[in-house]
Amino acid sequence: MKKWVKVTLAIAGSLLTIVVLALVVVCTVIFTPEYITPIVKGQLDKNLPFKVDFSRADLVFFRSFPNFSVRISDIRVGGTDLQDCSVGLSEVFVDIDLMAFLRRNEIVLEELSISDGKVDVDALLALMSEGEEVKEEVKEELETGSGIGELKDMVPFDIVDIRKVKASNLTILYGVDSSMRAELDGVSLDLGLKMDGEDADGHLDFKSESSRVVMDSEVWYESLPVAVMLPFRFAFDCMELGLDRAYISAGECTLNVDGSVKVDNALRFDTDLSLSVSDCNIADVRRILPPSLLPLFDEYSPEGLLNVTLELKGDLADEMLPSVACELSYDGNLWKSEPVSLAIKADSPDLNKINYDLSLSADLSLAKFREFLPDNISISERSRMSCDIASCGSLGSLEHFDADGIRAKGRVALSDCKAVYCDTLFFDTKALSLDFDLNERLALSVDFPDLDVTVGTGLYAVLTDADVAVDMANPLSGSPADLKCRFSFGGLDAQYNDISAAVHRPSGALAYKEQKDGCPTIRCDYKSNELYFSQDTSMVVETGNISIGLFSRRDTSATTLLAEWNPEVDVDFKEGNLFFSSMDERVSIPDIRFTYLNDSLYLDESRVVIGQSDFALRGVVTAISDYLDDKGLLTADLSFVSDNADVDELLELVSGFGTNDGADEGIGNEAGNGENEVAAQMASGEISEESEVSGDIEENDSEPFIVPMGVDVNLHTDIKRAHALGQDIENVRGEITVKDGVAVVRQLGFTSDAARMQMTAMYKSPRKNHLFVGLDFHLMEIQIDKLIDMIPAIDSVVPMLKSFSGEAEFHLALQTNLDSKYQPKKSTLLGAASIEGKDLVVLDSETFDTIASMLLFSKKTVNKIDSLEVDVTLFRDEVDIYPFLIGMDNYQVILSGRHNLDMSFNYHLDCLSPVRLGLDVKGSLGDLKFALTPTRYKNLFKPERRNDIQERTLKLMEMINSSLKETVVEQERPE
Amino acid sequence: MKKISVLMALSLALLCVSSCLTGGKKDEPKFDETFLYGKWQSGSLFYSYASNHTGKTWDEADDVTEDEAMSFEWSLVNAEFTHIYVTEISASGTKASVPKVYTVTTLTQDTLVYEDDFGKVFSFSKVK
Repeated sequence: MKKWVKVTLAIAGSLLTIVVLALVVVCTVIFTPEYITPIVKGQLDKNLPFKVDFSRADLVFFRSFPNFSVRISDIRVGGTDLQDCSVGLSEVFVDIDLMAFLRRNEIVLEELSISDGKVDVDALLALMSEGEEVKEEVKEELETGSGIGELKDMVPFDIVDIRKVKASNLTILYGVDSSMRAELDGVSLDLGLKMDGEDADGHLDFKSESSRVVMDSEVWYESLPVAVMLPFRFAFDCMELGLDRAYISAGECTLNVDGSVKVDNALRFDTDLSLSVSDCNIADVRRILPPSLLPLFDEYSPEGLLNVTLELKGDLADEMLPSVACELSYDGNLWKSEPVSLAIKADSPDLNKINYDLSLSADLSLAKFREFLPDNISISERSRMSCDIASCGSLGSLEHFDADGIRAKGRVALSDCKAVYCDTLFFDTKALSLDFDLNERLALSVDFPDLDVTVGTGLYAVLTDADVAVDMANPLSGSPADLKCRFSFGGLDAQYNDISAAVHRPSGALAYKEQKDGCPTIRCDYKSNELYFSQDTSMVVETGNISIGLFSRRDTSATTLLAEWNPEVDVDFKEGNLFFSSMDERVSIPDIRFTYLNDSLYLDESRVVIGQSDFALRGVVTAISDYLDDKGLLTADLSFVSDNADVDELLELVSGFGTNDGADEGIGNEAGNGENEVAAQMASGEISEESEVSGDIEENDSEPFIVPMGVDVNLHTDIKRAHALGQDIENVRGEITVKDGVAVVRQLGFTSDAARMQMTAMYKSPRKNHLFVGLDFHLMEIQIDKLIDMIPAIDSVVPMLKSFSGEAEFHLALQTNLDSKYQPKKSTLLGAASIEGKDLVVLDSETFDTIASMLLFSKKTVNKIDSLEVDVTLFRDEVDIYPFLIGMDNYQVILSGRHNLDMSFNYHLDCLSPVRLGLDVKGSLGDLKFALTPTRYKNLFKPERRNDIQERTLKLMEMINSSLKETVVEQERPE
Repeated sequence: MKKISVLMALSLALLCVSSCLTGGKKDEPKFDETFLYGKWQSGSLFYSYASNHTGKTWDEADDVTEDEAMSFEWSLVNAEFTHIYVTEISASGTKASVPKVYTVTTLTQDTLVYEDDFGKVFSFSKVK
């Protein structure tokens, strides 16, 4: 080492030693505690608004070398006892940069250190309030707005540099009235502040090892560690506070804060803050929740991590709020969500001017939310729900459900969802999604591949491949209802007790719109490929393609339901099959198309097959509403075109339609009478119990055909082949009218193997045991044997007919009442008949030979009668045969008489040639009595010689004959 | 003697003619049709005659009531009692007629007896 170096070190060491010794002397000799304490006390009393007591103050050099420190011991504020005082501290170190103060008049507070004590904030504030002057001054300046701008003028030094404020092992007490009390133990504080011109940088590090908060005598938190880390910078010129990576933590929950807050002279805070909570465990959140909320977590046990970010931007003032953007995500045992974002932008505290923007995505287990659901709803473990929802609007609109201020769009999806409501409604779907878009209108879309619904033990339904879309006026808008719905399903299977239904690929659309006058319109279209419906075994309905269109406009002024809605309906379905257990035959409807419009039903096309019958109905049914309201008859004008028709079967179908209770009652009474008769017969021994059980009662049970009531139906028939009353007939053309209990077959022309026929018939059923049938029947070109086959009763009326063969013409008007078993009531029989024949052959050649032999016929006489014209009347049991002339060979005979239905007779024959004589033949077959009498009708066919009786007889014959034949209507001969 | 014989012959002829004339009147007795008005009964069979020459008939043995009775028009000319029944049904509008002609033998306020051309006698009592 060189010499000059050694000399320099020696000098420096000496000087340092001198300085140290001088300092030691100053600290221990000059600035003794006895010297310093009064000075510090005086300064504190001068500058603080309350009195501070302490035991001593002394200078400390080596602790804060190269600076000096003032140590104040046993500080008491507001009392002398540590327990009762407001502030009680064992030590306070104040480390001041002495050189800066001496050279630059700067106070550089290197360190303010406080340790071991307590601070009662309430009590301290109360003491501070005693310093009225300072307080009023500061307050006045703050109120005038000048205080903040001139705050730095209050600092009596140019620069204040508080480099470090430290506190350790403090207890801080804080309370608001008696409702809230906070106690922070083990508080440590590290505050650094550096001012540089118009800027100040600093940091605040606050920790409390244990905090306790009591609210309304209820302990909210206990032993909760709290920490605040607040690095900050403050610009005095623009009054801006900046925070960088600041955080506040309570327990394990940490709130990070970044950003800045700027305040202007009008006390308007311009905020740009970001607050965030990262990976915060829900279990830790529970620790900082008020006890009143903790019971929620007794039932629900959410676990997982929570992430929240909050962005505040904008002005905060009396009438302004900053915009808030919030993003929240949760990943735990309840659900896993994508970040939920919520942005709130406010121009004023008015809720209507605070706008929000929410975005939410979540995937959650519904089973975890059982506790949130009503007790009567249970969810299976695997049920999940995911949602993706976005919404924006104003908080005011949200509060009042104002449609104009709310927009929302999103999707909610269920998967593997099984739910039970009240143990009766079961809901099961693999997947179901609901898309919605709430804008000026609300659009909903529901899709699911399958959905099982069970209600109790009765109803079970399965829907597959559903696609339902609804577009409607915003329900929150209060605007007139306007709804459009489109739906399609893969299929629907349903079972309700003994009712089964299945539909394949139903689809359609529905529109409902409320008009300005308040009357809504409804439009509906429906289609499905197949439909099946059954009830027990009593009814089965199957269809192929169905298409239904409906339009309705409601008329509130109408008085009836049908008129009120006045629907327009178009129906078109094919391949329909109906089976009713009450019918022997299945009803097939290969095709039917009809329209309901303005109270009328228009059958555009229909093909129906029932048993052996097939027919097509076309036409119109009118006055439906009047019929339903019991104000009038249901009228119909239909064409009935058929290739094959079993008339008996068809009549069975419509029997009794529309009969009212009164008619049934009448029928019932008669049935009761019948039962009484049976009972009387049993009592008298006329019938045995066995017969009652077996046959008789069954016969009584058979019901006659009851003509439908309340209808006025006109059928224009065109039937190629018909089967009625055991006869096969062809080319049936005519009109059938059914009007309020009266059925009329009008001018029904048809042909059979035997004849060309024309018939008008009437059937009435005023009561079950008093039916009415009337016939106006004409057979042209009929073979007599066929006529007898067709109408066996004709043999009773004109017995000699069966002796002839050939073509004849037959006219019959006949009416009678029938009992419930279709047996004629003889007292009501009334009829007239006319039979005309030419070139008739006597069937039995032996009989002819016998007659020819007895009457000495010429050998040239042929077995033929030139003509036969018979007029007959029927009244009750009397068949009156008016005189008719039979000519054969040289014989001419006029035959007349009466034939009773008991087969007794009273005939009279007038032989005109070859001899004139009269012969009466009376009695019955096997007991004939003959008597020669004068002739009665010998001049009947000689106008110039007729007597009064013959004249009268001829008039009666003409009356009968003409009245019968005038009922014949000329018809085209069928090809 | 010859003159006496001629006179007797003329008297006999005159008597015959006279008896024929009076006998003709006896064959066609006249009856007061007003006696007919009202309801007549023969067992379960009823007839009712109205002054407008319409009538009804029904037989309660067949479970037919008066409201359900068969209608007819009647006329009484001397003893010729005519009932004309008309069927209810017709295709052309002309309905078939069924005439029944009887000869009244007794008509009082309480008794009505008539017979037809076949000798069948009908006897009724007035229903009070």
